[in-house]
Amino acid sequence: MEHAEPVSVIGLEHLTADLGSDSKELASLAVDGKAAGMVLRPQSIADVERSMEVASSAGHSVTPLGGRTMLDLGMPPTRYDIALDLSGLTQIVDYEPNDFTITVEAGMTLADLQRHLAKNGQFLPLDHPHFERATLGGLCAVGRGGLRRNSFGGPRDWLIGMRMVKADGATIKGGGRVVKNVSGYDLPKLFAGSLGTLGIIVELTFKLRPLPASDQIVAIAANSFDSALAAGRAASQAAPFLNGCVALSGEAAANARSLGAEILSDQPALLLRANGLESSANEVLAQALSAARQSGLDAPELRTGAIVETWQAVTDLELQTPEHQVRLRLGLPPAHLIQAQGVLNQRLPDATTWIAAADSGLLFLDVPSVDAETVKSLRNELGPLQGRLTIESAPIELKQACNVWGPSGSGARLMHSIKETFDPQAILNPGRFVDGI
Amino acid sequence: MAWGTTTNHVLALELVTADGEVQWIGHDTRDEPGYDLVGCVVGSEGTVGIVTQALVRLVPKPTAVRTMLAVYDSVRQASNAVSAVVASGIVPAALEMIDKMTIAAVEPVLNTGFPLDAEAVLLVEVDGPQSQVDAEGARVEGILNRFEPREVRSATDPEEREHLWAGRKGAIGALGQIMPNYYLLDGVVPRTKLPDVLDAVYEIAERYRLPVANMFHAGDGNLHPCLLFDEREPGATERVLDAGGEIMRVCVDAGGAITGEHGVGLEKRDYLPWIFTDADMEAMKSLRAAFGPTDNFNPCKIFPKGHGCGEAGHQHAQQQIAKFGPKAFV
Repeated sequence: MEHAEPVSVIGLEHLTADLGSDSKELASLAVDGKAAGMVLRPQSIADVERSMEVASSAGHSVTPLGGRTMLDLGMPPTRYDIALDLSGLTQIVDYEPNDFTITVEAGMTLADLQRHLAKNGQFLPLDHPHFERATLGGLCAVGRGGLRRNSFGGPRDWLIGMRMVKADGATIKGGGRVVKNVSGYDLPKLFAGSLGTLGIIVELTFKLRPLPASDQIVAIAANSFDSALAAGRAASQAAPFLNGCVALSGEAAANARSLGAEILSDQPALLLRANGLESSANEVLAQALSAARQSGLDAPELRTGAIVETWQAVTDLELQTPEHQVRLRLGLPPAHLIQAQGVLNQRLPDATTWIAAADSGLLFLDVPSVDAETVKSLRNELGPLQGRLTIESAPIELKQACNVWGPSGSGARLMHSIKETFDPQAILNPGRFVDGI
Repeated sequence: MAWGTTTNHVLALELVTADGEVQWIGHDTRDEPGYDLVGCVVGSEGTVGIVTQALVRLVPKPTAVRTMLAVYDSVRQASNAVSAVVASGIVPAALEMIDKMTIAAVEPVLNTGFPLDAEAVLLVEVDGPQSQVDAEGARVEGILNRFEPREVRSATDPEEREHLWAGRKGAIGALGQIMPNYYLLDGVVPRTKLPDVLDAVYEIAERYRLPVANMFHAGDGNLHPCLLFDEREPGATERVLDAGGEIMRVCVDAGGAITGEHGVGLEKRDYLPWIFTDADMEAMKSLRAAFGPTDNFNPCKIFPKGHGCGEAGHQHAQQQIAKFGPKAFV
């Protein structure tokens, strides 16, 4: 691990964690092999304000983190002075169940939130790997929809309000506590998915949904990932209101099984999920199954009662990359999924794990190794299919050789302009986001 | 209501910025790495650029739809029924309220069959697969019936449904039956606060001697009181703006906001400090500046005391602010 220069933060001694020789903790805070100069553990929004005031006046860089589930994401940081650990901000600020909205601090985990909401028959419709650790602030900062994004969307779609601490320590907010609101600019949208580069997310307000009366998962084994994917496409077209339609390669299925998923073998498989009222979940699932059968899957269908465990294991696959392998992520219109998979298969014949949300055009795959030239060619070939290929986790050399986010899009100039406005000193997560932001 | 708002369905935009550059922002499946520029532009009231094309997400048409109409003898009963439907966890496609004044305006013109002596009518629509529509429709009817409606009607036939909706959709146009002018407000409140806020709206309108017609998206807590007046009557416009400001303040005090869908525009920009601090507004203005020179598009809108804006008509708004209290923090 690359060691950092020691950082001094006068006036923040009470928030400073003395890690001493806790090498495990130090390693878990490292980003792309770079150690943090120091760790601050704020316990309140006021602590975060004070931390940012001190950091910005000293010019120290700050990397906010929560459950540390996605620290691999992005480019290696150009500087890493302070790790700002927000996992101490766990309070529920406001919850009126009959309004179907909740305001919580950013360090609360997704699992804790769901447990709390379940007492009132409610939930936040978002999936995230390692949801026992993943914090709401963190998953909003990453800002992506998961394997069920076709029916759930992403964090942006459930956020109705947000409070953030700016680089200079001032707290600002956007949105509110109502489900429909166009008062002022939509700052929560700007901050969701900004990977901590614009400010520190400290408080979030979400709209909520009722827990479905019925929730069902069915798996069918397939001969190959290709046939599972083709059946998934057919199923999602026949049943557009599915709540999950995931094709897995044999390796992915075996991994999910080892993580606690029921009904999977070590064979490729198609997983279908439907929920709502029992009658409508049955109706949707029957339509999907019939289409999958017609597409050629003929293995018996398996149902599980372990809905949460099974789906969470599959969701966890999003971060389950064997050591030293490269994890790629492709997002594109679902109609182009099969063609894109063909392109990837040809260029990366030794790809092992494949995971695809067949209804929303999201695909993850692992390869033992890949060179920057191949990544570049793939991006060129997938471009016409509206495919965006990003590197999720990779050895630092590959990250540096080819930008993990891909070439800058047409919005890059605007993005730089926004970054300079919100973080003129470039102290927030410097270098990790798109186009050097 | 079940489908979310505009921003949930806009995937990409062609945007012309202040420097004349034309660019596409966003992506078909929101997989363009980087900041959510589309999320910043949607709802920005034309202040950061000109949108010339939009790529939107489509959903399949529901296979079944059921529209229900419930007639109540008090607004309180109707708004309690709204809160109960929301709290039940059913998320209807639409949940709308129409009050007596609105019925008086629409009924003579559109013959929708709304009883003229009813105090409020609710329109509730559920859609989806047939089995879901049947089950949720029955549950909604059960809830509507708990609040002592005079009657509950239900329609699944497209023509009948259209007929029920005609009264809601034609309501604004029909207001001219009563008075030559209307001022349409757009407050939004947490849904549990709806009954109290509606009471306050009627109280304020009465105090200002203004007829008020309410027709609105009750399920979202999005109120649209229409204050009716005749601008030829001396002082009427000022009275309407005063009453409007007071109603906005009630929404803010209930934990709500000053616009649910119509935008802040010019007339509500001075109320923005009721919900946002100076720091909040400075951050928003700096986002605007990041898109280019700030006075190129819709100058003076959204933010109080915009640069280069004429201050005519501003004085009245300033008096409003002073009258209804200091800055609020929601």
